[in-house]
This record gives sequence, C-alpha cells and structure tokens, in this order.
Amino acid sequence: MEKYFSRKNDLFLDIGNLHQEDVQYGYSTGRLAILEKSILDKNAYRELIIANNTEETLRLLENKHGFKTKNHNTQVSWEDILNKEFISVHDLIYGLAPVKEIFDIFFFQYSFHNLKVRLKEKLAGHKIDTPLFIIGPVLLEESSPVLREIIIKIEQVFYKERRFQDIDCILDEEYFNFLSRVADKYKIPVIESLIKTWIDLANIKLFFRFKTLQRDKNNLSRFLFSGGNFKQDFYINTYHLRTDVLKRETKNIFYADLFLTGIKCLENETSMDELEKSCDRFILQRFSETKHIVFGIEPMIRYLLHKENEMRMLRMIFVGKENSISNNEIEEKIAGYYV
Amino acid sequence: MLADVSLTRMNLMKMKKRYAIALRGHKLLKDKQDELMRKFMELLEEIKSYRQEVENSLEKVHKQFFWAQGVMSKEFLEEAIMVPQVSLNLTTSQEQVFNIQTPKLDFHIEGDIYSYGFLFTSQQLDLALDGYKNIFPKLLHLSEIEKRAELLASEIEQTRRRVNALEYILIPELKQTIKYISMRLAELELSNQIRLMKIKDIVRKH
Repeated sequence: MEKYFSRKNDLFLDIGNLHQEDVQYGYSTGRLAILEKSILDKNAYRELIIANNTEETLRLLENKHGFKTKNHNTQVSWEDILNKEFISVHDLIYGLAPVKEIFDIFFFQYSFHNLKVRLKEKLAGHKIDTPLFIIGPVLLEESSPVLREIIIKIEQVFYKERRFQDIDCILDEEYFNFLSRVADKYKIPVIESLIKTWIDLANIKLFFRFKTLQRDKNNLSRFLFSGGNFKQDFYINTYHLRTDVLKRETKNIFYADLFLTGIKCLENETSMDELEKSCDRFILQRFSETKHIVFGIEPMIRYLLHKENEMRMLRMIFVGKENSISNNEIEEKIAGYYV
Repeated sequence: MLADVSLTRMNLMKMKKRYAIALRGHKLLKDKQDELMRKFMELLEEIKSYRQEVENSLEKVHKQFFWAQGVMSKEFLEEAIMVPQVSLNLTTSQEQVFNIQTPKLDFHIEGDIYSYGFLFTSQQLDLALDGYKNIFPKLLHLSEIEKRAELLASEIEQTRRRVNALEYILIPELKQTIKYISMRLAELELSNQIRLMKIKDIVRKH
C-alpha cells in the first residue's frame, strides 16, 4: 500500500506495508478527524480580525468556536486562554497516543525552555522572574546521566567567557539530539524525516538571519545544527556567496523555494518574516498531503501542528488587537500562516 | 510710586545714575530676551521635527516588538531577554548656552544585544532589539534638547519678568522721582531767590 501521496523527491515519501503500529492509531485518527473540523479557518480568522476590540474577539471565540474564555464568569486574559487550550491539546494527544514517548518530540521545546531558565538563573546567581511552561516531558538531572553531562558541559563552557548565549547554543543543539534519540528508538520514518526537516529549516533560518545580522561564518558555524539532510558545511561554504550566485547554487536543492524566499528578503532588505512563515508553512503543507492516511501517526502530528499554528495566529491577532494595530496589518501579518 | 528719598542734589544725581543704568540694563535684558526667544523658537522647531521622527521610529520598533510577541510565546520571549549581555555607560556633563547650564548625555554600549539562542526566537526580535538600540541615542538627544528648551523657557520667563519690572516699575519710578526731585529743587531755588530778592528789597528801603 502506498502510504503517502507525495510528489517526487518528497522527503516524506515512504512506500511500505501497513504496520501493526499504524493500526493502533485508528481510534485517535477518527477522534481527531472530528476535532480537526473545529480548527479555525481563513474566514474564522478574518471574523476575529474585524472584531472591534479584544473583548469582542474573545466573545467570538467563545460563542462561535467553543473556546472557554471565562473562569467562574470572570473574563480570563487571552494569554491564559491560549495556554489552557494548548494544555488541553497536549493532554488530548498524550491521552490518545498509543506510544506517548514519541510525542515528546513536540513538547521537548517547553522542557528545554524551563531548563534554560533554571540554568540561567543558577549561573546568574539570582532569581529572575521568567515564566515557565507547565507542559513538556520532565527533565531531571538526577535520573538522566545524559542531562547531567550536558549541564556539566554548559557550566564548563559558561565559566570560560560568562556568555549566557552559550547555554542557549548548547541546549538548542542538545534539544535536537534528544529528538533524534526518540526517533532512533522508534524508527518511525515520518518522525525521523520530520526531525531532519526541522533541523534543516532551523539552519536555513539561521543562515539568512546571520546574513542579515552581517555575522561572519565562524559565528554561524557555532550555531548551526547537525543531523539535518544538509551538512553544516553546505551552509558555511555558501555563506559568503553573492545572492545571484547563491540563487544559482540552490536552485536544484530540495529547499530551493525557501532559499529563494530568503534571497528575496535579502535583496529587498526586508525582514525574514516571509521566510519564517514559509518555513512554518512548509511543514504544515507536507502534512496536509497526508490527509488521506487513516492508519498511522500522521493525523495526530497534523492535528498538533495545525493546533500550534492556530495558537500562533490567535496570539498574533490578540497582540494586534491589544496594541491597536490596524485590521489590514494584522491580516497581512497572519496571511502567510494559512495553509 | 515715588522712591523714599530725601530731596537733595546728591540724591538727584544718584537717581539719574540709577536711571541710566536701569535704561542700559533694560536694553540689555530686552536684547537677551529677544535672543533667547529666537533660540527657543529654533529649538522648538528642532524638537518638533525630531520628536516626530523619534515617535515614528519608536512606533515602528514597538510594532516589531509586538509582532515578536505574536510570533513567539511570552515564555520564549522573556527567556530570550532574561539575562541581557549589554552594558550601558552613561556619562553626564554640562554645556553652557547663554548663562544656562544644560545637561549633555554621552553613552557607550558594550556587548552583544543578540545574546539569546536563535532556535526558538524570531528575527522580529532581532529587528526590534536592533531598532531599540538605534533609537536609544535619538531618545537621549531628544531628552537633552527638551531639557534645554525647558531651561531656556524658564530663563525667558525670568528675563521677561526682569524686563517688565524694569520697564513698568523701576524706570517709571526713577523717572518720576527724578522729575519730583528736580521740580522740588527748582521750587526751592526759586523760593530762595525770591527770598533773597525780598531781603535785598527790604535792605534797600532802609
């Protein structure tokens, strides 16, 4: 059975037989197929944007889309509403997932955020009031020798130059290592492929971001992540190329469109906003192509990614509304995230 | 109102001297006021256009920061900027404009403003921080010139009060006193003269 209906050169292409593990997802697929219908669409976003103020947007969310915006008849802030909604998605996914550990890859980022905050506080020597996430797999130094090693490494590196960025740098790299460990353990092609794509996209964004910041390639190599489909050398070797040469060099690679978007941003001296949107859209589009898969992990991943995207778009709408940004501008800003 | 002085020639001379000084002082203060006013108007024009420029840039930068808040969640954003690696050295000195001591602010930024990880942060944050960094000298300059305008305004107010006091109180008062003393002295002289003539007349008759 052909599992994915994908184009040629698709990184997600996998032709194989229906596995026993895939059948386990039958119930979750059915459940999420219903819930997926309640994910906001373009018209819903437009309606939320044209609302007069934040309160009206919240009212619309509650009345039309079933979000819980009140706690004992008291209006809750939009940030709390989005947080609660995401926690409920997290609980739902973990409740439905036959193998819960696989879905850790979507929530490790929150655990790593908490770890960063705690480490920065420890190394700064005083408490810093920074919010933590209450979701994400628990990372305990006591029970994980790997984590203990990472923390020792961070402390050693930090005390050399006292640069807090080194904490981010090491933990970001380790974050992908943690994801790869999960992928290696379960050997699910779609997960392996997804993680590689995440690494590639992170590197592409870094590549163009550093170009905008006019940093040298040594600096770039410090931050590039390993484990993607493209080696770090690829980015380092093409870093100093002129935009026209870069365009030529990257026109046949898998991420040609993303490179082209980045190059356009560089040429027009605009922000990398469009590239960031394209990167987010890239993954969502890949998973939109897996709509017809019934047995497998893909519908769950698709639902999760769409929910994350929904949260992001809602956050942007609320930020826009709260700061009296015009409706057109908000619409323009979130336009790139529609899939 | 007349100054409380005894009617002597000495006082008349003193009053005339004071009157001359008051006139000269008034002219000088008037010139100073005009010049201060001219400077103030120039500064006002500069502030107006500069403030407009700063406000526009600030609005743009704020917007970039809002969008960074939109793209990244609050937790990630706050974590990114929780330990800034930038230090700012601000030195203050004074500059003399007319006789007013106006503040002068000089600053020096050290360190990297992008002192966070790049994986969970958006480029919008880079742009916003870069914008804030670029706008900071402008904000300081704006505060400098606005303070200068404030000090100029209070100096103008003080000078105006002095000019008015000279113009409407001291000078007319001195003028009136001089006139009064002169008239009284003239009157005394006339009466003395008449008295002398009368005495002379009486002496001649005898």
